[in-house]
Amino acid sequence: MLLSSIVFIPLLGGLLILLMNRENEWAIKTMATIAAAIPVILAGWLYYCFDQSTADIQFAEKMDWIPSLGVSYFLGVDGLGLPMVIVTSLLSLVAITVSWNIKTRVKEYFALFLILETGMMGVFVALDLFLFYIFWELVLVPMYFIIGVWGGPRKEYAAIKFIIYTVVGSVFMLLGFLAIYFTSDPHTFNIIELSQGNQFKGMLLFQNIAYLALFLGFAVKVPIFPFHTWLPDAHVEAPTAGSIILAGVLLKMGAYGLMRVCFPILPEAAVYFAHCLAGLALINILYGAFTALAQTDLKKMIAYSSVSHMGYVLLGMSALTVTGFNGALLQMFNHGIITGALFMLVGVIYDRAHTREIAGFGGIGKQMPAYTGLMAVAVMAAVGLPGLAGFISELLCFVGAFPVYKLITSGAVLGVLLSAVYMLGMFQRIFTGELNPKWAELKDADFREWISLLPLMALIVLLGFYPRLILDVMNMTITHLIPRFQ
Amino acid sequence: MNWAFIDWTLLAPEIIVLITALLIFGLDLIWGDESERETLGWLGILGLIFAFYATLALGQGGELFNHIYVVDSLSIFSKQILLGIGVLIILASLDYIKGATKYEGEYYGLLLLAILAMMLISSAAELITIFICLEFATLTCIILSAYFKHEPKSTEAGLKYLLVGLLSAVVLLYGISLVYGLTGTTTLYQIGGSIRKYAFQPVLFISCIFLAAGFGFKIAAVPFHTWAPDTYEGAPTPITAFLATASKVAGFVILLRFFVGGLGDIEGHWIGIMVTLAVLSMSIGNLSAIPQTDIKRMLAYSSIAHAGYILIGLAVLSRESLTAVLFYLLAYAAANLGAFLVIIAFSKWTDLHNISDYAGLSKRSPLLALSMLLALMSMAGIPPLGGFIGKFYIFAGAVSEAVSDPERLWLIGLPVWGVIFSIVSVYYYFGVIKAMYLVEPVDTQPIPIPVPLGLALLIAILLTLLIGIYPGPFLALSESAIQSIF
Amino acid sequence: MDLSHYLTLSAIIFSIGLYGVLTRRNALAILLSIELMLNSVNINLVAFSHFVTPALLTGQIFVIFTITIAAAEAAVGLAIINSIYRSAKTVNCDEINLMKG
Repeated sequence: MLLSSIVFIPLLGGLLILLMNRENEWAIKTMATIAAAIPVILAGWLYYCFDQSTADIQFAEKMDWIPSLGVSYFLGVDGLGLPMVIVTSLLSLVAITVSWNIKTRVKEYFALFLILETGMMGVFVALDLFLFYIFWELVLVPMYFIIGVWGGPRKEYAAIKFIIYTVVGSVFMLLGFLAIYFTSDPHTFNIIELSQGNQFKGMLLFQNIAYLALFLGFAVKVPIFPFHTWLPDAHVEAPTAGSIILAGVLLKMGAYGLMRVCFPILPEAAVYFAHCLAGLALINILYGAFTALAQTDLKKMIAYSSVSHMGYVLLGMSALTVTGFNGALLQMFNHGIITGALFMLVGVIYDRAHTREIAGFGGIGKQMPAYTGLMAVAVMAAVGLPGLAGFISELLCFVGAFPVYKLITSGAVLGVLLSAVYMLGMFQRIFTGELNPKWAELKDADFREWISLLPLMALIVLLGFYPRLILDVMNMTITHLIPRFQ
Repeated sequence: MNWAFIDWTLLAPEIIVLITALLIFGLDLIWGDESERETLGWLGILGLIFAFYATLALGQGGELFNHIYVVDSLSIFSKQILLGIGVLIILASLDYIKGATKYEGEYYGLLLLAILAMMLISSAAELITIFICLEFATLTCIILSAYFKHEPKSTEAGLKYLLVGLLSAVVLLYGISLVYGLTGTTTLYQIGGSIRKYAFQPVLFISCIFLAAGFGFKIAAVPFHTWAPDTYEGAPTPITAFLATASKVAGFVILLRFFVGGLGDIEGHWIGIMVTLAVLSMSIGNLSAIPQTDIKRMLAYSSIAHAGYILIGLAVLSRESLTAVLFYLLAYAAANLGAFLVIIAFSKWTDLHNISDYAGLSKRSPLLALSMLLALMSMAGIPPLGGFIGKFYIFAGAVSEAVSDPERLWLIGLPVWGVIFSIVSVYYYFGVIKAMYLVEPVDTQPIPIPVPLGLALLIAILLTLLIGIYPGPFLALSESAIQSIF
Repeated sequence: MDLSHYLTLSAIIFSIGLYGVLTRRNALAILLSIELMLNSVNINLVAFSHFVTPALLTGQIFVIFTITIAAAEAAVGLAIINSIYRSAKTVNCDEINLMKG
């Protein structure tokens, strides 16, 4: 029941909020925070109870749901799912605390956010393709509203673009699921059964077609070039909390889908397309980095840096080695925390200055010293400074990929260099130099902001020194997975 | 024929509806002008509920008059849906029709007769009976469409329905005459037996086209759909809802009975026709819906598109896909009724019909907006709502056949085509959602929901949710219904 | 005179009716053309009845029904055209176009 509780407590909280009086905003916010905090505690408990010495599914829950379609309600976590559950619960709580300053339509906002959390959690614990798809789509509509109602000036455009892109991907993914279901023998949606036996051995054509269908769905979410164009719009228009969730969790859903569904179920296709994926990863890394370099809007820059950083995940995965996979998964975790922190910091300054033009700032460092310190940690982590979280995972991705794709990996390292250029350049232009007199009134980070940022900062430092906290969790699962690609 | 051996209890639901209708006409005639005509509506509801009870007692059913009239699980299923739709439509009409016309009583009587006609259609299994029942339904629907005889739009709706309806009836009749000429009999039961000998018969192919034209009109499949947008827009809104749901259910049931039950052995003659209709309906229906500004007209095109999705099930012709047809009809009817009930409440109060008039409905009337949201999302096929499971099942049926039989691999094209156009549909459904939730209201006055209409809306929306979350029993029901013909 | 003669006649009348429906713009004329098509089917039915099932009268009975239905259709149709004429002062289908899209 542990996993069901983690998944459905937010939904329950959301429904309760819908029944509450809309005037009582404090109660609504408290309720939302509690409903988001419980999953964090439960996820911690899950981590504590998790047996790191096995690759098996743990905390499994299985029930028949629609027997005539072979659909079951099947939840469970292993080394792939657990880190994502932790990061989702954490970022959801952070996003909800960040949102305490929301002023319009508070009730709907928090209810939608909690429904969103249920969808995201469900994706990471569902082990039935059908259930996976339901949760996948459940994320869509709340996110549409969060962007569309509480977003920036071009919110309507960004929201519908987000919906259309994601739906395009997901319907083809659904067709892929159907093809897998009807080709498997006996017909099953069970991800574990499908990825353990060798159902589709030798059916390379089928595997490739199914792979491409699924890939389209996941690639839009990651996003992989050229399916990324929804991302800058959605990020820029979304409210701060929406951006945190988008970058921290939603992008990971795509990469997680590749790891959980695409690769294990269709191993031959995964090998067949590995080179293409590595090539796309390189494009993602360089394209994202160069575009980020050209941005003048702070949020847009971080959005494009996400594209670049997700490229490392893809690169690590495409190597199909234990090190590469470890690096990819760890990078997903780290990137979630780091970008979450970055978007939050952007939100903090946007709340005060109502602009995100990098050139418009300058010398903020003296005005907001604490904020500057926090930003420095996040920026350094994003750049990949040793001792902070980003370094280890990026290194693992490169080390894993290098023996397989020497040229591509060498090119990808350029991305790290570029990220140092744009991140540090941004930092310099905003925080150092003469203080723009316009910003003399800016207040430093307040208590609520500290509270929501501290756990992320702590994790960034902690994982920088001791990445085994997460690596040990996923190691067994990945060691069992990789031989499928030999 | 020995009258003593006719099991009249099989006709109980029809007889109850007929008597209620006649009672309504009679009471309407003898009551004075000042009397409350709403009572007649409640009387109609009572009659329909009794008839529904009677269908539950039919058990296994049977046949009457030498297979002219069959009461099997398919017709019982269809009658139950029709009676349910009838109850909801009358509930929604009670407030709508009051004061809108001088002839309130006859409205309920005619509505009951239309339901009766459609119930007869779903049991008719003989050419003459089918033709008469179809005409019975068409004529009552024409009168109801043109019911507001002082409103030019309403009479125009009636005229369009009349001309296209009569034309298609004649074309259908021509097809029927050819079938009769080829087989020398008019009962479907015998036709199925004697037609088996034809490998390919051009005359039979032509008559299949003519038959498809006739039935295609009832289900509003492209290219026999031209009446639908005008009639939907002009007719009184409860009647539009009735046409969009009941008429479609009856049309598909007779289509199933005629083609699958009667001509099932010569499917080579008509599968191509179904494929053409399905492809055309999906593409033209969805594409034409995009530029619509009138919400009823938009839903008319969307209902055309839905006919296309359902036709996939007929074109695939397997146990699963035909079950999916019935299941989809159920989910479609629930969601469509939900949407139309909101339109009834909204247009009765504001007398506005444009999508842009729904701006800010979420603030004016959150419950109406939420209902509309769920209904539209179900129609767009977003989980976990009924429409999603319906689409899933339809597409699953097609993929299943395509994957298991290499000769029918081309069938995969239909679901692919279907998902492409369901993406298109997401765009225009979200146009309404955008107006309701993202745009600020022009007029902030809340919209009252009459109690009976609210009740009907609640039933429709709960059903949409229930079909999506717990589809098991509904699937079982559809499956047992389809067993009587396939 | 065999079956094919009747069928050809019926097909010709059917086509004439269809041509009328598609080209005439007057609602009454369209209604008349549809009646013409209906009667062509009646020829079909009677001919089939005579040549295919001479012992049974199925086709003839069918024709009785279609004639009755045609009468009902005409009643409803004329009533609607009448009420259209009252409001629009025309029965020309091209001019009856309040709804577009």
